[in-house]
Amino acid sequence: MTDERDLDDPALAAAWRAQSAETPSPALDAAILAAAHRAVKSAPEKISPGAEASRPWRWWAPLAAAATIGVIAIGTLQVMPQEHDATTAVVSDMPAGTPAAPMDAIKEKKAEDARDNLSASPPPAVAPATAPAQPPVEARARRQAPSPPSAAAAQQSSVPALSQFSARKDAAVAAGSAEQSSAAPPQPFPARKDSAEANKPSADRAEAPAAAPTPASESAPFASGKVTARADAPEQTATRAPPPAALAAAPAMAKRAPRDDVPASASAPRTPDEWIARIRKWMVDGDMAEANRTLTGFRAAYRDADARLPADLRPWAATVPR
Amino acid sequence: MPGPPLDDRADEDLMLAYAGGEAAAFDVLYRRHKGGVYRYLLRNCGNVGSADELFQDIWMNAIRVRATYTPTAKFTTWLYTLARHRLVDHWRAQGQASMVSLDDDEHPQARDVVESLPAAQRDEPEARTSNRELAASLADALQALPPGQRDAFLLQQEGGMSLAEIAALQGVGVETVKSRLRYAVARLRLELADS
Repeated sequence: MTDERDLDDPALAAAWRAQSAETPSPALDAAILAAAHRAVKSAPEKISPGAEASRPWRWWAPLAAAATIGVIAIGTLQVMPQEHDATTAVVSDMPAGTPAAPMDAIKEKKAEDARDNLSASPPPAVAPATAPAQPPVEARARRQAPSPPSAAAAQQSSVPALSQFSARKDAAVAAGSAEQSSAAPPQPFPARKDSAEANKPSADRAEAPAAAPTPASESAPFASGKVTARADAPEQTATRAPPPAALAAAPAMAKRAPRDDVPASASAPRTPDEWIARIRKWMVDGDMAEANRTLTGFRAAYRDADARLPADLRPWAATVPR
Repeated sequence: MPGPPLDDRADEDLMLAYAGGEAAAFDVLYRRHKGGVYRYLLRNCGNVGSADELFQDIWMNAIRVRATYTPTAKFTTWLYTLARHRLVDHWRAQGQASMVSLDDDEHPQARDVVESLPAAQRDEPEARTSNRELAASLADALQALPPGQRDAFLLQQEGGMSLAEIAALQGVGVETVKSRLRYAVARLRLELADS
């Protein structure tokens, strides 16, 4: 039988308590108590519903706004038409020293055409749509060239040119092609220069702006047609009004032909010789695409166009598909 | 109507109050049991550094599992269970396999020593504890005890646990606990007599 004294000796317990006074350090106490308090206070707190959404919005909202504005600006720049192309074409095509006043030239030309129409005889009733301004141009040609005109000049004067500049250029080319045997080889630039000198502004005030090139109207066939139509009779104006789709395509066509070339629809040749002269002009300029286009127009106007071609042009014409 | 002061409340109520968010309840619990747990660890480990580490781990664990505390037993039983498990882990990590097994009752020498020990000298108070040398000799004698006996003695003295609680905690029978305590007390009493 076990004595309880053997299990719990009061003297021993007292001695034990007397010598057992070790306690944890105050730092350890503080750490544990702090952890205990921290654990209780770190319980989940109620979060307002909008707190999570409003905090991120503060920092990414300006970024989103800036990105949106940037995208809109870039898109607008991409969509905007590049008008400087047309301006470049106008500037590069003007002869040196020529006054650059296209708008004034157009206005003056309108006024002059109107005066000429009043004095000139009306055009034939069944006149082709491509030759509406012939009487005024012929009248101007007579005034500008008091001396007897050359064959080429006479030929060119019959062309219903809307641009004096391109008409002079065509005249020079035609002159070179019509007199192949006696005349010198085609020299478009000197001829153009001479022609330009011949058409220098005279005392007539209306001639100066009229002689100034108007590339925008020249390169845009419908726009130029619009200018001449105003000088024509009202019924012709109605027949020459371009379709809206064509009006919309005019700027693109102006970009495509930035030079002083006159499109076929604006001053299409009427006779086979004119067609041939136009084709040679393009070939001399090295613009074979335009030459092909002119040949196609020639073929459309004359079924036997290929047969009317000179012998030197026929091999080339054979390569152009119908 | 406010409840009784925290100092008057039982350990189990304080622990429940702390689990419910009353931080001050933990302060009272800690103040009541920090010395006993610390000395329990210190006497078993033998060095202050390990005792400090284990002590902090035990209380941190108590804080961490506060929400799962259920007063199915005395708080001291629950707390010293945490301490003892941590101590066993410490021994296992230290490679002290013999310390993990606290079974030392099968030693025949122990019974002989117990039988030869003198009875308690409760009639000689002047001979008991009067100086610090006696305290040091007691500590040395405790360290010399087998782990099971030392653990039972410390649980009894520092934890204030009954035989049944010690038996439940150690996973042995009550008679085994009695044997361990009898042997430990006899050895310590002998140490006191010698000094």
